[in-house]
Amino acid sequence: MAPDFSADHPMRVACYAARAEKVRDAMRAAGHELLIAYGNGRHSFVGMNPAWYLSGFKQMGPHTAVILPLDGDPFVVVTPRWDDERAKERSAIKEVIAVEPDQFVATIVGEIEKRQLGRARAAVAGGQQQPRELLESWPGALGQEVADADQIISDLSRIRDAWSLHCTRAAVDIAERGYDWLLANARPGMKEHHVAGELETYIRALGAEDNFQLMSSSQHNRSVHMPTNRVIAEGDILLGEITPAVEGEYIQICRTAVFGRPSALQLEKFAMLDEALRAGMKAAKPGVPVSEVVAAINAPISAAGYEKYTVPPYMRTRGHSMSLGSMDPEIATFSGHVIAKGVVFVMHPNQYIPDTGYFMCGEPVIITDDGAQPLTSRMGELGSIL
Amino acid sequence: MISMIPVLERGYTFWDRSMLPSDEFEERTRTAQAMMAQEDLDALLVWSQSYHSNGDLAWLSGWPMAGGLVVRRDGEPTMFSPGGGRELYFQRMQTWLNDIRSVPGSVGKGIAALISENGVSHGRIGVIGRHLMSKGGLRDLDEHLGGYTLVEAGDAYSAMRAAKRPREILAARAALVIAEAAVQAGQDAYDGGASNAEAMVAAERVARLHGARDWRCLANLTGRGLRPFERLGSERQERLRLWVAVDQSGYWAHSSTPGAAAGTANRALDAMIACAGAGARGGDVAEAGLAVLGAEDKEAALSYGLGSGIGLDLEEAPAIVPGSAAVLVKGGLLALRVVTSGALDLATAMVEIGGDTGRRIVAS
Repeated sequence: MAPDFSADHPMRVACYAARAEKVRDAMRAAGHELLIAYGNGRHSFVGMNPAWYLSGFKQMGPHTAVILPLDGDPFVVVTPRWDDERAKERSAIKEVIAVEPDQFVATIVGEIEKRQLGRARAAVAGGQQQPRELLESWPGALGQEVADADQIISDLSRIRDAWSLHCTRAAVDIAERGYDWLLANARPGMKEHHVAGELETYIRALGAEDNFQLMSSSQHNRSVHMPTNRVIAEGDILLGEITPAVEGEYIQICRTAVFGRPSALQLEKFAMLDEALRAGMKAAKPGVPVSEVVAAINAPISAAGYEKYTVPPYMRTRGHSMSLGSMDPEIATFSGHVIAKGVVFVMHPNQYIPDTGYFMCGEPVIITDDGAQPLTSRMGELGSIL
Repeated sequence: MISMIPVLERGYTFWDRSMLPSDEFEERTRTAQAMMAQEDLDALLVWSQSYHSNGDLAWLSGWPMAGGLVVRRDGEPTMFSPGGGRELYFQRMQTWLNDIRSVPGSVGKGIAALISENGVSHGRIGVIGRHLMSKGGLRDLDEHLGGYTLVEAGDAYSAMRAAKRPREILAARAALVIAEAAVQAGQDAYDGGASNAEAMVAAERVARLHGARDWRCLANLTGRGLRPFERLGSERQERLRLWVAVDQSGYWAHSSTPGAAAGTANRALDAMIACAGAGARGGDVAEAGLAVLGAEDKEAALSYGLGSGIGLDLEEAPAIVPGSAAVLVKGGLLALRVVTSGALDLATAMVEIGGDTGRRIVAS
């Protein structure tokens, strides 16, 4: 039976209500009386959308905001006006006001005043995608200094609730089926972008509303990238970063497959990355700084003589969150993050190896007391397309 | 038209040298340098964000990379790309630029060093895309370019780009081929019994196989208005109303299922096209279309929007809205549309601004 994502799903209703209450608890602790949770229509895989996290509505217009008072009912302002019906259907917040983009801020200010909330101490959670001009305009618009509430949303959302996990698991299933499709259908002689296009639409048909997908193939890859006009050849190494989204919950698998039988050298190097991934998963326990997870991942790679290649430009990061609510954790030494129980992220020692080219090896994981557990039904292997 | 922006432009990515050869970009650079001389600018900085297109930067670079592109009074531009450099190899495949520098950390420092390399230690730097910069990015720029006068150059740059170059029209027509093929595929799927949502997926598939780098689509999924795809459904409406937009080699085109031949939407669209000549204002074109519509359809058409310029961005100047004083420039490209109440009728056109009137461009 296909998973249920209807707006009135009891779990969905309960979780969104619980999110609002937890945010209110955090607001109380921080001294905020009114929260504006903003969302930008330039959807980003690496930027949170606080409005979407609290409303359950994926916006199409440039601006959306959930206005959550400490006392009183929340409301959501969406753009553009003609999207109001869809917003009313999907929003977990009952009161939806749809306006044109140029009326967005004025509408929020007007509604705040109408509800006599103008004196409430305000905070804004804008996420990384909030335009700078808008960010700087809130104090003037609200007539007060405005606190930054990004951390409130980030801290709450990084621990996935039941609805988030329901959607996440559906996305994992789509990703795995997408990769199975790739193994079954990609063949030498096909163009890279044809394969990527077919994969993309297959994933759409499985129910993913979006997909951060990179797919490329070459005899010696320098990195994974968008598909080009390259013709796939025997012996090519196919790289796939497949990241479908269900209700905003992205999940990523990183896979490598050879068109033909992998050589002993390729198997050896993939095994090295797999060992690195498993070491990272074992190290990623609650309370552990991500720098230690990075060290655990890099250890077998460095021991094999590839220490030079464990930093940019040969790789990007050892893993990252993909939540619409939080960018924590980023599995990189600069992040300063600490692993927490219940967080979900992708751990991936993807990197360039001079002997074989770039390889991808990564799993979406959830943190338990025993370390990171994969959300996939089976971890990636070096695939063979015969 | 406002549509669902995807998390990544992830379709066919390839520098088509046959359509946009290096000399095209060399000529664009010379044009930009002529504009700089006119505006008394010692350098030009064009900024773009990650993951989403920015036409201003792509116009010179050939591909929308994140970061800052610097044009000096002579010579080729230099691209400063933030990040660790993993993408550099691929970026070089997509652009005619020889000088691409990966700058983890401060982009401003690199830009300042480049400009002063030419002995330009003070002067005016035109900035485009300042509004796209984060607080940190702007601070970095102000810190390292404090010795220069940073001036907003967006208007001059837009004016320079307003009339499309011949190869830009060619690229737009190529995108239109894909858009029309996608619409046809959607219609064929629907005629074959597919639901409206399934028809959207069929349209997307064809667009991607034909080489779309980015894809937008709205359809009458519920029979009331247009919606983006969110999940597959079996609901089938009385007819299919599909609006699509395709980016191919950076250039956008839109198309739709045809409206009723003598219907309100097409009549309003024809009226706008007839008005879309050089010298007309965006507001005039809008009013010409609205004059054909009844009250309810007028409201719907205004809410969905009547159109705008189109090119390297899906929506560019001029805006086709009542009251717009933007003057149409000969050779500019417009994406015009009329959506009536409940999206019961829908008509679109790609239009080149002519001397007296607009001219529909045809796919090639």
